[in-house]
Amino acid sequence: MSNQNMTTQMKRLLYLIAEYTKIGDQYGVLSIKDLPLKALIYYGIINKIFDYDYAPLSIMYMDNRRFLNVSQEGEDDLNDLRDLGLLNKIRIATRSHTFIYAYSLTNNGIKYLKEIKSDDKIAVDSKLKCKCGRTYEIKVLLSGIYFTCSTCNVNINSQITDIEDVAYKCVPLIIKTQLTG
Amino acid sequence: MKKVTIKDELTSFIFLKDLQIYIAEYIPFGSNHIIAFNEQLDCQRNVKEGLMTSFIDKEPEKATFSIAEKLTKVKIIDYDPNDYVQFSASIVYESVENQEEEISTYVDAYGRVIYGAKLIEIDNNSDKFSIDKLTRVISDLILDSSIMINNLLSTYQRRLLDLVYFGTPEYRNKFTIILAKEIEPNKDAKSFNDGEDLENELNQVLSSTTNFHDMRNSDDKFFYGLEGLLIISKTPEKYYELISIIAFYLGLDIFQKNYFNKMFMLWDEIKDGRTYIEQGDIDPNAINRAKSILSKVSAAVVLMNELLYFMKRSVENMNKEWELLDKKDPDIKELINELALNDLVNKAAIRISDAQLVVSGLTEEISGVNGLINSLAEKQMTRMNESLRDSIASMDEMGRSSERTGTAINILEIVLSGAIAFDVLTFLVGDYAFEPLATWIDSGYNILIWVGICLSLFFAIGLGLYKLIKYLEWKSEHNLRAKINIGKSFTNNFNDFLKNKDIIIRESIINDNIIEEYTWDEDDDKWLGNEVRIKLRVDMTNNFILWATVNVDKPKKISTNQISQILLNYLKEEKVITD
Repeated sequence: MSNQNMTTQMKRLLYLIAEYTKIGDQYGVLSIKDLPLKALIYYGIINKIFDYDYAPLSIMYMDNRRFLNVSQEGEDDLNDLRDLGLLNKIRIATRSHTFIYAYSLTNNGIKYLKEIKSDDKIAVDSKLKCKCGRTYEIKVLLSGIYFTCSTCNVNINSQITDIEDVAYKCVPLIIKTQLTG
Repeated sequence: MKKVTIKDELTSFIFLKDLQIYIAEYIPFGSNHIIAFNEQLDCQRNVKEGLMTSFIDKEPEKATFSIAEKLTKVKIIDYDPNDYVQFSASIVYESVENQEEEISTYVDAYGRVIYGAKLIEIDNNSDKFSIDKLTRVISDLILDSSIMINNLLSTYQRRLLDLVYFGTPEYRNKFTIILAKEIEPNKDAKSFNDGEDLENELNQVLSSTTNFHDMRNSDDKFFYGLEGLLIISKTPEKYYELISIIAFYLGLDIFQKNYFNKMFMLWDEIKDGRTYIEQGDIDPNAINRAKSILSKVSAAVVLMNELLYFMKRSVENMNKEWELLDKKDPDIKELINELALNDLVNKAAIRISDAQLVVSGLTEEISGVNGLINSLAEKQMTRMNESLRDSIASMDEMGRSSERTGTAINILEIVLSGAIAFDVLTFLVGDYAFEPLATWIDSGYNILIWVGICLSLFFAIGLGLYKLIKYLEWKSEHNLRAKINIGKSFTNNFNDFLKNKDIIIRESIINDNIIEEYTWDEDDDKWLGNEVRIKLRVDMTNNFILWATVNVDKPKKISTNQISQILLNYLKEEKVITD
């Protein structure tokens, strides 16, 4: 894959990670954890910033399992950005001895930011950053993942833990094993 | 039926027709559990239906109760009292009447639990089902099946699941097997491996698809992922028996992955315990923290060991079923080869043996850390005893000081009483108003003589009082004590030596070692005419004299150095210790 194949979604995703991992004007200083990033992606999908689908997936959440709305397309684009050498994926241990992942920009990733159109940047900023221009502080709590801005007194529930229902009807199947004959 | 609440406009690429869903997991079951399970379901009493709950009656004296928990409606389909039970089940939320999510559940003594459902309709559509929506149905079935089976399991089984799934077994992952008669787009399986839309959609339901395969001898195809298998076949019946075996091994695979995660987590917790022990000299609460971790980990390890036993038995039994499976059908054969099921079956037992090693290591580690905690606790106890002894010595010194103060007060009282006496005398004779004395003082140099007499009297009284204080101080410090750290092994003569003593106090401390303390009195010539009280502390396990104290009441011409020397010579002469 070459940089020519970068889709709009990938560019927006890279810019989103860049904004959440910078200090002042310096990009690529911090790393963003996988779970807050999933929440940002999901929030971006339901606010039409990312054209991805999502579906419930059982993953580790605060050292326990939980069904979250996860976008496989988002995950795929993250992998593609890694393949292009624009992102690093870092494994870190938690206090309760499990592992989680985090993402940070590579030098190439930082350089590529100049090539992202301002339209895409504005789109991401409009929904995934606070109106004051700052990135949200992301809080992962048992009740859900929240985006807050203490300056503007904003607290938004990402709704990533709200698993959607579909109406369905099913009937029991007879299960056959050697024991049942 | 539940309402649609999807926030996003789904872009569906893959559709499936005529769907059967199997959700598999491993739950520790044994023969006794399945017998109890069958009894609990009232299988043998021809009771066809019942509502089950995990609710515990905590108010047995009351006649009525209200229940807020979710109920499981159960209808028995088939059972064998010792081997398995199959029933249809649904979760009752607000009312029983509107429930249309009914699934069959198969549970056997091997721990194989399979939930099966034939999908009739999604969003009023019964023709074909998009994978996007199917994913939501499956996650709903996975969650609901956990709630449903939880109502039927024993408290012990619930505890095991709680342990392995980090306290949230209701969100545990399970292996999903989907059988469909048709797939749209009707392409080769390989073309779904596009790294884009089709693959991403399959990943939603299979969690990272690794194998896209078209069968060589038929139009069947399958897709295999980390947590799911999708088989497309016009004749799904031929796969039923194999599916029941795959369900066990892949359900067990997920359980074992969680089991291993938990085990490594326990290793890390033990490491934390060790860190606390290292801080034991600095942090007074460290030992308690380490003990708390150790007790938690020990309890978990006991259950982890029991789980190994369950898994071992299950795999032994299932291997027999695997051997008996008819593998002649070319599609079955191909599926077995492609999924490397032979390898999976063989490795299931190997993984259990490996886990046994790690759990044994964990048990040893716990024992080691426990030893360290005991040793540290003993060290702290020794330190506490020493500080207690110091406190007692300090209190004794305070007592003596108080006694000396009392003596000084007594002397002051004497002086005061003398002053009162002189005042009384002055009151009687007046200030030099005694005429003959006043006349005598006035004549010649008698005044100088009188001054001399007064000064002599002053010094005499002062000297007398000084001597008196010294005497009283000596009286108040009338004992000597010496502690001698002997630190030598005693010989066989030790018991004979003790037999000749009139032991007045014997104290025993039984821990890892047996520590004895003997106390007796002596007043032999060797003690230079003094009465002494000797206390000897010995380690009877290692035949070792630790230390001795000698207390001398009203010491006469004896020093602490002499006391130490006399005691050591005494023990040598009696051949209790050697040079």
